[in-house]
Amino acid sequence: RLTVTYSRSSGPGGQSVNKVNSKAEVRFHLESADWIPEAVRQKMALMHRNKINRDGELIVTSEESRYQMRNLAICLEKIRTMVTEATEKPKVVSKETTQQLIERVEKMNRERLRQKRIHSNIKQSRKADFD
Amino acid sequence: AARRGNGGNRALELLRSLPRVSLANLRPNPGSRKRERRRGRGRYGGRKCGRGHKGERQRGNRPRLGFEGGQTPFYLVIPKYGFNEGHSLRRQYQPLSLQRLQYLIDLGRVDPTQPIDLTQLVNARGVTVQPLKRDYGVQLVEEGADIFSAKVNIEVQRASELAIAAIEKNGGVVTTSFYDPRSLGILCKPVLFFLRGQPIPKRMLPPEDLVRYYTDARNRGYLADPSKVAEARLELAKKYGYILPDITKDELFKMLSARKDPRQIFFGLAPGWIVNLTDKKILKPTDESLLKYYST
Repeated sequence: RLTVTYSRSSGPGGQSVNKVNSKAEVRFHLESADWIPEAVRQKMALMHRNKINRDGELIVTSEESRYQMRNLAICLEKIRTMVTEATEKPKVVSKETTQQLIERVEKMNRERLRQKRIHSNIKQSRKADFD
Repeated sequence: AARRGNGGNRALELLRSLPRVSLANLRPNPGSRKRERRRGRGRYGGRKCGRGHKGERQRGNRPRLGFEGGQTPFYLVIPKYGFNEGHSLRRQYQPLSLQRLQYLIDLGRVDPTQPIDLTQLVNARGVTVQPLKRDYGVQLVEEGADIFSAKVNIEVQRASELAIAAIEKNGGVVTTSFYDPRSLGILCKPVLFFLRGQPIPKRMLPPEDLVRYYTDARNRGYLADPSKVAEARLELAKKYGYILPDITKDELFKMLSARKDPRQIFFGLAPGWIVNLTDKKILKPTDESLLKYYST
């Protein structure tokens, strides 16, 4: 269900790039990919809008290594990370934790003001007013 | 000249008919002996004799190599650092690329229908291992991973992940095993060892730092759990995106699953046996204590 093509990679590097480095390209039709749940598919279409072509295929390329197999592995890894990123739900902070956080912030502020008052007293006690 | 006799006869006939061989008739092959350049002779080689004009150069009093006229020389400016410290205690593994392995198999120097061992590779002159130079064996390198297409049962000392994946993709089996220096020497030159007349020693277990490497299924270590090795094979297949061919349904399954015992050096020969090459016999120990020692 994934179409894999190999080609010579692009970019600078002289003879090494021309002869050796290979590019692995993996493409699959996002809409008809039944191995990804519907909601995730839509999220991916949103997130990686730049990597989807006119026919609706999501294209992932890798040309980091000189071995086709490794480039293919890197492509697959990229696809896996894309799917996991699209699957993660936004963090729901429970009521208790929000309350705790608010309490913590208030406590910190109170402590800060107390310390400030103490410091102010110390500084005032050092003043000599009508001597 | 008429072709009367062949080979030696013709040479003898020639010797009889040609004039006597003497210093006047002999001459070296043109171009084999070149005239040497002699200093201090003739208009160009003489006079200053290639020494230059005056100074330390001509008088033969140049300072030692590395001296920079008093400036702190380069080799003293750079601080010492232990790059090569303990280099004689470091383990070295001769690299064997998949491209070279494919080359050897294609030329027929290595037989893929038998388990490929270090002895097979050395016999085929595929690699040169020097056990006395801190070599601990052979390591598999990924160089020909894309071209590799041979189903083999390989046993090396180290293998990288891509190399293992490339071999398993084609339906082969990789194992990494440890050979201590003595058994490595025996493995590389078995005939010389058999001529010595000593019993085959048992292979020692790996040292502490290597135990972890050889008990790990990801490196296909020989001490690892076979079930974990099967899991690792599946994992690699998923990672590199190929379908893992089922070797149990293969016709060469028995050969592919042939593995050595951790204490065994040769396939088919157990430790403690003496191989007699002249009488083509194998002597096995019968004493109980010896049997107990050699069977670990």
